[in-house]
Amino acid sequence: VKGDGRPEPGARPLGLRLFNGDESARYRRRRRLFVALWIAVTLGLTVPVVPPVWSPRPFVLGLPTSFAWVIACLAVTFVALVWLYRSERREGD
Amino acid sequence: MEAWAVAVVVCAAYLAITLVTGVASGLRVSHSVAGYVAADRSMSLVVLYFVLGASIFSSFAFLGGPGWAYSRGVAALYIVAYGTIGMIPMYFFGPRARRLGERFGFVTQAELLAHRYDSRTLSVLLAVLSVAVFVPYLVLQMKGAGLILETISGGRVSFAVGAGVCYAVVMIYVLTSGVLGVGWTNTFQGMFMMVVAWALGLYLPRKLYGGVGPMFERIAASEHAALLEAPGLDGGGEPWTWAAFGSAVLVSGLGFTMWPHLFMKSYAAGSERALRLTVVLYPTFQLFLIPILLVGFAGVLAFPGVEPADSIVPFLLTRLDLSPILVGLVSAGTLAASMSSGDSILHAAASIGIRDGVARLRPLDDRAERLFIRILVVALSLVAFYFAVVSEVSLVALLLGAYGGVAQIFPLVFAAFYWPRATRAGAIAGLVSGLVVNTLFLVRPDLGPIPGLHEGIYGLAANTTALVGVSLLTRPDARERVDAFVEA
Repeated sequence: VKGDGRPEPGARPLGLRLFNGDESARYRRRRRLFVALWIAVTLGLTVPVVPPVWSPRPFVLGLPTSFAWVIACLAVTFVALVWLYRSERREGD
Repeated sequence: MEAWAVAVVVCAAYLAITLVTGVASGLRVSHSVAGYVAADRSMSLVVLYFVLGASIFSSFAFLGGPGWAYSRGVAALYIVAYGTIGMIPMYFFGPRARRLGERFGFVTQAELLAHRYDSRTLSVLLAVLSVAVFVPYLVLQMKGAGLILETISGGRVSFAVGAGVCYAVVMIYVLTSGVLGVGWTNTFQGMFMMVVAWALGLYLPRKLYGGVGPMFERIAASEHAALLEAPGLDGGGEPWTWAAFGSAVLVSGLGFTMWPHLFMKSYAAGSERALRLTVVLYPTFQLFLIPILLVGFAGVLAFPGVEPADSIVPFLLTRLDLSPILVGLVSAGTLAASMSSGDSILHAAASIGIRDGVARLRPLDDRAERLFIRILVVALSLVAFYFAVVSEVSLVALLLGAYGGVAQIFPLVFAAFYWPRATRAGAIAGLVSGLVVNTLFLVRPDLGPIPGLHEGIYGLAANTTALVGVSLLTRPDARERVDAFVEA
């Protein structure tokens, strides 16, 4: 980086570039929120953070709690995807 | 007509419909490699949805899923869990891959990575990896088809004839219609297997226990109650560890959209909207694993001790007093699961083998490339048939190992799109070290510091470290190449 703060010609940023620069702030916020939710669901499905959701009882709609928990994670993912897709379509991003 | 013959006739009718659908669908596409491999980038939402869904749900889901539920209990939830998280990256990667495919003419995953990292070595390496993981995958699909026809016909249709006839049908429509043959047959097969799975998954618990709730109540009160304690049991019947369960979900989830035959469907999408919406709607396809697992649980108390566990579905079909038409429909549903994955794998393996392997070493024109892809379709079918029918090599272990291998592609794809500083040397170092470490811990799990942790995790750690370290130590890749990807 030169003294005036502009990058040197040919220099590359060291970090990740998650957006390409022309997206709106709302678009970025929504995508960040979605990825945060995705990470939360991933944790919820891989680590027993809240042990009761993985226990067999009580039965939920006839299914063991763990079974219902996994389906609930699938449902939450689906709703979040619909939300992201619809809001991006609305803005024409 | 005898009961077995009715069931076989139902399966034959299913095969005939599949063949006609597959051959007819190819009449609409151009005679070019882009037409054969990527459907001229024209697939609609409906076709794309079923291609992805039905390609993912193989005979492993239809036979192995219930087998896991039957023998390992809630460990089988691992299949639902990794599918839930696994499709998401496609929402972000898919449209970028599609745009780049349109701009540079890519039709495979390796082409995209080889272009970004400017490396022929990477292309050939990925082609070898793809074909190596696809052959055992294809063999298992063939075995599933042979097994189901042999079982329901009481051995009158031999294993070899069953597998041979089903895969002759697949080979014909893949040869004539390319990916569109795969697309339209998968639409038919996908709808068919969903209906069959839901019908069977709700019917069996009701018939055997009076409903899903009573079924689980009885399992919980029986000596098999440990099946319902998360995270289930391991292959030897001992409690599975959370490290093993969680890492298996994570590795399979990250590898999910990296499977080359799934990744390359991004290029076949007719529009970005169709591609995004396919990802959005995918959980509705994933739901159908629920009745599939219920079928396995239904066998626990009714028929204990079935070996191997994967044969629980054909076992239930032959032991319960079901209508032969229903037996035929369920069997055809299982064939649909096998063939709708087998066709996609066969098509991708041949396309990748020629386009990313042979054509990289010796340039081919469009016509020659199409011809060679077709020759490889036939050759791979024969090789897979040999392994399915003649060879006794255990392939399940090989395939399970493949998941860790395929996941090693993830850091390269992520860096191609989001990390401008990634370099060719870094990408090759990452992939090679990831594959080597993955294979090492697959063969020698006892060397792992955390018991039960999936070998793919060690591979991904080595992969990411090498990718980042070597990239930072080498000169950045050409700017225009990098920018085309991070700005796509």
